[in-house]
Amino acid sequence: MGREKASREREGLPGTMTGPAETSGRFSRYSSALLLFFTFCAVAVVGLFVIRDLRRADKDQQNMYTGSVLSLHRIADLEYQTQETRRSTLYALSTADSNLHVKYADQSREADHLVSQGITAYLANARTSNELEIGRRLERDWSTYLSVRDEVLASILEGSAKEAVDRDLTEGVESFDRVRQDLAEVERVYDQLASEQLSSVDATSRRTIIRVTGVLAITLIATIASVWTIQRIRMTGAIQLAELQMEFVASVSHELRTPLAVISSAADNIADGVVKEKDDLRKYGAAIQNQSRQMMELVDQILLFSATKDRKSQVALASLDVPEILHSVLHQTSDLVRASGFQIELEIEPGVPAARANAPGVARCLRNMIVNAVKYSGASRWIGVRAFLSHSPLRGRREIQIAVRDRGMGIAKSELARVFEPFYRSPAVVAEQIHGTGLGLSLSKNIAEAMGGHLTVESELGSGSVFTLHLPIGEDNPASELPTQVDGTTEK
Amino acid sequence: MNENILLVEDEEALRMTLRDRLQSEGYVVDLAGDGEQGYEKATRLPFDLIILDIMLPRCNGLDVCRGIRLAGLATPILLLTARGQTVDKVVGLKLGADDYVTKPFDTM
Repeated sequence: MGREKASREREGLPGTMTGPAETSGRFSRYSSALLLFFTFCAVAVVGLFVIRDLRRADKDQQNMYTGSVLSLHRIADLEYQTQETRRSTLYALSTADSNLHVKYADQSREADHLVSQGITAYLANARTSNELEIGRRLERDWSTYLSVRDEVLASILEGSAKEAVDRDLTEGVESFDRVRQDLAEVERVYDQLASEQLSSVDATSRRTIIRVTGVLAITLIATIASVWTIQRIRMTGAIQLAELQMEFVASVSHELRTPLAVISSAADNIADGVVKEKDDLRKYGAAIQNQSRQMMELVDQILLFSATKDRKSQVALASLDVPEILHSVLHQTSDLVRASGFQIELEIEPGVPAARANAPGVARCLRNMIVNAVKYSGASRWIGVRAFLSHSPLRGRREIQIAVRDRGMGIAKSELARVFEPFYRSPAVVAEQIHGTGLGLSLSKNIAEAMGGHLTVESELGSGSVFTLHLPIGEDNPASELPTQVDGTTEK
Repeated sequence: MNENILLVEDEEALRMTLRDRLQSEGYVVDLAGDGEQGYEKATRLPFDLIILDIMLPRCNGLDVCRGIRLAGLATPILLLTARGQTVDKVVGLKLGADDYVTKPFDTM
C-alpha cells in the first residue's frame, strides 16, 4: 500500500493534492534546496574567477622571478665577458712577452665569442621593440669594437706595440665606451620591465583581494537571503494553516452548536410541557434524532479524518458490487435529497465489474460527494450519478469510475487545486453561508487513496461540478483486461 | 395585545422548537427561513422583536440587520449566533443589533 501511494505521488495523479501545511512543507523543502543550490552555484562561479586570478597571479610571479633571475644572469655574464675581452686586450698591450701576447689574444677572442653568443641570446629573448633596438645597437657597437680590437691585436702580434697603443687609445677606448653605455641601457630596460611586471602582479593581487571580498559578501548576502526566504515561506505556510484551523474550529463549533441548540430547546419544551400532543412529540423526536445523527456524522467525520490524514491507515479491501453500494448510499441520503427537493438520476453501465474497495469507505466517499452536490447546487435541483468502466491513462489499466455531477455554482479554476485541502472552504461558499467544515473532500480523497483509488474534480464556474471516484477493478475480475464499453442505460 | 416576534432561522427544527416555546409564553410568532424572506417580512410587517440568526442562506443575518436599520426601523433585534467568535457579536452590535444569544441557549 505504501509503495502504491508513493508511486501514485510520483505519477502526480489527480486527486492526490495535499493540504497547505504539507504543500508548504514540500514547497519550502524544494525551494530551500533550490535556493541553496543557486547560492552554491553563484559562490562556485565567483570562486572559479578567484581561483583563476590566484593562478594567474602565481604564474605572473613565477614568470617574473624566473625572468628576473635569467635576465640578471644574462646581463652579468655579458658585462663580465665584455670586460674580459677588454682586459685581455689591455694585458696584451701592457706586456713585452710575445708568448703572453698570443695567450692574451686567445683569451680576448674566447671572451668575445661568449659575448657574441650572449648578445644573440638576448636578441632571441627580446620581447619589446625597445629591447630589440638596444640589442641590435649593442651588437653593432660590439662588432665595431671587435674590429678595432682585432687590428690592435694584429699590431701587437706583428710587434708594433706603439701603433697598437695609439690605435686602442684613438678608437678602441671610444668604441668600448659605447658598448658599456649599451650594456647600461640594457640593464635600465630590464629594470623598467621588472618594474612593470611587479605592477602587474600587484594589480592582480589587488583584483584577487577585491574578488575574494566579493565572494565573501555574496556568500553572506545569499545565505541571509536564503534563510530569510525559507523562514518566510515556512512562516506563511504556518500562518495559512493556523488561519484554516481557526476557521475550522469556528465551523465545527457552528456545526455542533446548531444541532445542540435544537436538541436542548426540544428537550426543554418537552420537559416544560410546552408540547404534549402525540404528533408534536413525534416531530420533536424526529428532530432530535435527525440532529443527533448530524452531530454523530460530524464527529465521525472528524475522527475519520484524524485517522486517515497520516495516510498510514490500512483498510480491508474486498470485492464490492458497484450497483449494490450505489443503491445503499442513495437510500442513506434519500431523506436529505428528498427534503432538499432534489432528484437524482442514476446511470449504471451494464456489466460494470466489481471493484476492489472497502464498502464503508466507498459509502463515506459517495455520501460526502452527494451531500456536497446538494449543498452547492443552488437553485438547480438535479444530481447525476454515473458508474462506468473506463481506462485510466495515468495508470494504464481499466478502472471503475463513479461520477457525481451537479449543475450548481461550480468552482473557480484557481480554487480547483485547493478543494481537497483539509479545512479549506472557498470564500464564495463562506459568503453564501453554506454550512460545512472543509473536511469532507479531504477525507474522501484520503479514503479513496487508502483503497488504492483516487478522487478527481472537473468544474466550470456557474455550470456545475463533477467529482469522480476512481476505484481499481477486483483482481479476480477479467474485465480489467477487456476493452471499455460505454453503453449505459438509465435507471430512474 | 400580544407582542409580535419575527424569528429568522434557517434550521427548520430550531424554528419549530423556538416558535412553540415563544407561543407558549403568549407571543405571536412569524417565521422566516432565509435572509431575504426575513428582511422582506421585517420591513413590511410591524414586529416588537426580531430574532435573527447570523448564518442564513441567500442573505446573512448581519446584512439583514444593517438593511433593517438602514430602512429606518428601530425594532429591537436579538442576534442568534452559533459562531462563538466575539468578532461576529461586535460586528452585529455595531450594525444595530440590540443583543445577542449564543447557541445552544437556555429557553427556560
